[in-house]
Amino acid sequence: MNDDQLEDAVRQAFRDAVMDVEPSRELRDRVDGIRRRRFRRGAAWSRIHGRLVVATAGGLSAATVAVLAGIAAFTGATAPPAFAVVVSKGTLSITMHSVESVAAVDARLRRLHVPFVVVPMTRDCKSHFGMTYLAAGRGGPIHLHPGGVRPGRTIVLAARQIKPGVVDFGAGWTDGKVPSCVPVGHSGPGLGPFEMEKWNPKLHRYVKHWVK
Amino acid sequence: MTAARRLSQDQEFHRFASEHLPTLLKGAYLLLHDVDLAEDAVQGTLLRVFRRWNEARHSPETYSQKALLSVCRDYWRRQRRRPDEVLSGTAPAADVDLGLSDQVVERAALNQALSELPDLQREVLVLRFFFDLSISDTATVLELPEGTVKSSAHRGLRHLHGLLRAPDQEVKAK
Repeated sequence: MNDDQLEDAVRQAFRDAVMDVEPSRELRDRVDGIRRRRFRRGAAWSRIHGRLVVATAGGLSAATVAVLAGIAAFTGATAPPAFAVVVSKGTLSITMHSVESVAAVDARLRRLHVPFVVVPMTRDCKSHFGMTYLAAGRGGPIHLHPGGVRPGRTIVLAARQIKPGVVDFGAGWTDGKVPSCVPVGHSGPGLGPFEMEKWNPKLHRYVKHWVK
Repeated sequence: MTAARRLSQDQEFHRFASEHLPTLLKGAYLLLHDVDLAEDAVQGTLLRVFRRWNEARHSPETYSQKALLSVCRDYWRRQRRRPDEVLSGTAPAADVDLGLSDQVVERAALNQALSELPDLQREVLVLRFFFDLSISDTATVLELPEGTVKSSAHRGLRHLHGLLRAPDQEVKAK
């Protein structure tokens, strides 16, 4: 095979390999959502709302350590991202600005094969699923270190929009069927002992709490 | 910048993005061999392009190809810093029919062969033979001398040819 034939063969092989690779609806929506942010005087550019970081003790597969951002976090003249799911160094980080992203975030988690699901927290939900309400997503990230998730157990994260751009989370676990929604105001078994970091605007730093 | 001008630039960007999204995604797939990773890479690429649209709009294709390579390199760099995944279980015997179509098998072989190439050769091959860039355009995107691009393309082609032909040769040898 001479060089020209080889080049043609490689061109054809590339064309065949990507023949059915097409942008998903989700990607098109994400790209369509790229917009400039309106400048607001005094706005805190670096503020990230409703960020939940969950680290599993067993760690996540090293091969999935790549950053898989649902919408990459970025600053500057663009609009805040709707959501981001980032896996790095065994830590799963979920950022949400709107509960409308629940389905997309959940789909992303399923693809990562991690024992976490995100569901909406709504007033009219008929589920009796018990939750420990974290109420700590306001204006700063939360870090959770649950110390490992037992095989067969699923951690349920319930997302609630408390104001535009701000999502709060509740968390609970189930060994059985995962609810499709979670009602507001239920307390339950929660995650067991875990460490939580919450942004304290007065101290201007993260403060660690143990929740039992 | 006036609001009207910003709006028109945003529209320009979105026109470009929707037109070139499939090509960028396919290029990213050839570089990363995973559709999810490729989608994330393309999104990151388009964000970079959007943020620098003033600069990128004069030659958006070149700028986006450069940005895509940069995003992929970031990914490879992160991968190298971390240990490989340890897989458990046994590989299927060679004569087990997995019921995969020829196309799937060929694609897997190409992905495997591409992943075994050095990064530069892989980038050159994708730019030259998927994006159909000339030697000089490839050199511009990679910011390398044309001679380096030519030699990398030649070595990459030979390497790829060798890797893709290896199974046939084994069969013939039997």
